[in-house]
Amino acid sequence: MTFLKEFSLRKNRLLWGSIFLLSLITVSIACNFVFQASMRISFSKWILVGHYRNVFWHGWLETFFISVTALLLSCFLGALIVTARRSSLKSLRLLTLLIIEVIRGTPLLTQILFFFYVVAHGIGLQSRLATGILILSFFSSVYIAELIRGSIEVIPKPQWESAKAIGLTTFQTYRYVILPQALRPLLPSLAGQLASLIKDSSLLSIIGISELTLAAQQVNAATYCTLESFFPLALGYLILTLPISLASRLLEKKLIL
Amino acid sequence: MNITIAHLHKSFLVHHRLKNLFDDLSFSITFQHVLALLGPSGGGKTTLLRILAGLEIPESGSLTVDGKNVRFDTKSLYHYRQKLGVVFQQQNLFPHLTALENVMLPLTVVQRLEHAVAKKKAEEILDQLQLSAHQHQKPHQLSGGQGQRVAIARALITRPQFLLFDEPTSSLDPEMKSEVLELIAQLRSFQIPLVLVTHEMEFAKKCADQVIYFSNGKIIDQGATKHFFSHPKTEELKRFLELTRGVDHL
Repeated sequence: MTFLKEFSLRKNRLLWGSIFLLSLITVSIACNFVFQASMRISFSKWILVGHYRNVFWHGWLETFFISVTALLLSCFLGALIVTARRSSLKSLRLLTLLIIEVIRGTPLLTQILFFFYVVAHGIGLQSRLATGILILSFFSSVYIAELIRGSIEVIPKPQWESAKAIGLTTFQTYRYVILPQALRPLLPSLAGQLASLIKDSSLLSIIGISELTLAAQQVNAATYCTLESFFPLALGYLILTLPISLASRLLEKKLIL
Repeated sequence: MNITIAHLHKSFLVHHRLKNLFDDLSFSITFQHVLALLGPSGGGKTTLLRILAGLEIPESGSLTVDGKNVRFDTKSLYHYRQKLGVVFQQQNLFPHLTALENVMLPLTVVQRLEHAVAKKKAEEILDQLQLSAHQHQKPHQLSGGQGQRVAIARALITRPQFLLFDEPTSSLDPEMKSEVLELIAQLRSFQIPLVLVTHEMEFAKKCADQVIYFSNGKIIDQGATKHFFSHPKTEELKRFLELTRGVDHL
């Protein structure tokens, strides 16, 4: 028995020893990287980019506005698409399916260009910002609709029947029985989709909307400081996406069954 | 109460083929407390209960409850269902609500009662059914038997015109079965007629005052319970009763 004990102790020591050694190696490699990088960092470049902080700030505000508006609009449109997708009219269901497949199967970049140069032009929509928000919301709403549909359809049939049997209308069934149950499994994927939406707004720079990415591109063009121009860009998006993940996690905990 | 059905047709798609379940089904039955629908699986008793509950629409035929004709359009059925209390085999309760909230839901949402009034009523009925101790538990914290008892409380809370139970004990183990069956037996005191689909022959014998026996979508026998069990009409019914008697003693 003492032998066994000693063996397990020795095994333990071996384990901790190797963990220590491994972390030492990792830390030293990381230190090396940081050292190498810091050799390349010149503070004058950061200071130069710092002069353009107003450009970043305005770009970030624009991105913030686009994100929040598109976020709300895409949730609303998503709910509409789900309703159409689950409608009792077969033609409406098929049409929705077609739209979903086309939007999901083509690049957002193409959609932005097509919508901006063909559709918006055709219907006389002047504002670039409104066009950008619309196309972004529409693109995202298709994904959101499919997420909502997925989480609704896993709810067992007896739940629908029980709701019907106690005399709830279809709207009441969704409001009091189905959606509260669908929300929890929906949250993590919805949070991911909304974070994607925020990052996808960067593509709107292609039609000249002066959001954060365009701001970074402009600062880069003016200063030739690429890393220093795009680092604030990443930070700017993180400030927008992190609260969403956080809120979703908090809500998820609150909704625990 | 009286239930009359005339020339009822109902078919289902089975493997892309239309299969007739009820072909010109007609009957009329009057009972005071409990009507039991018996018969082998697939015989049509659950479908009949679902038609009675306004959850399934027949292709043709008429349903009359206490002299009133039931119309099968969406709006009329919606109003008709509000006057009934239904309990299914399982998963009756809404998992995101507590037992109390489950029982309150028909009052607050359908009948639009004030929250405090609904709460008082729900607490009263849970107390009557000895479920007070569990009122703040969610369905997954309840045993199968307790869950079904809460479902029965929810069906009772609106004081429905009549109750419809579809094999409420079939998914329970024997011990829980007896606690639910005991409760159903007590329901007589509520004076609300009950239509019950069940496989529990002994229970039907004890509790039901009228019985309908279905097989292949047809009524083989119907009548007062005593007479039904002591003088089975056909050979098939005799065999069925003997078989289930054997099962009940197991």
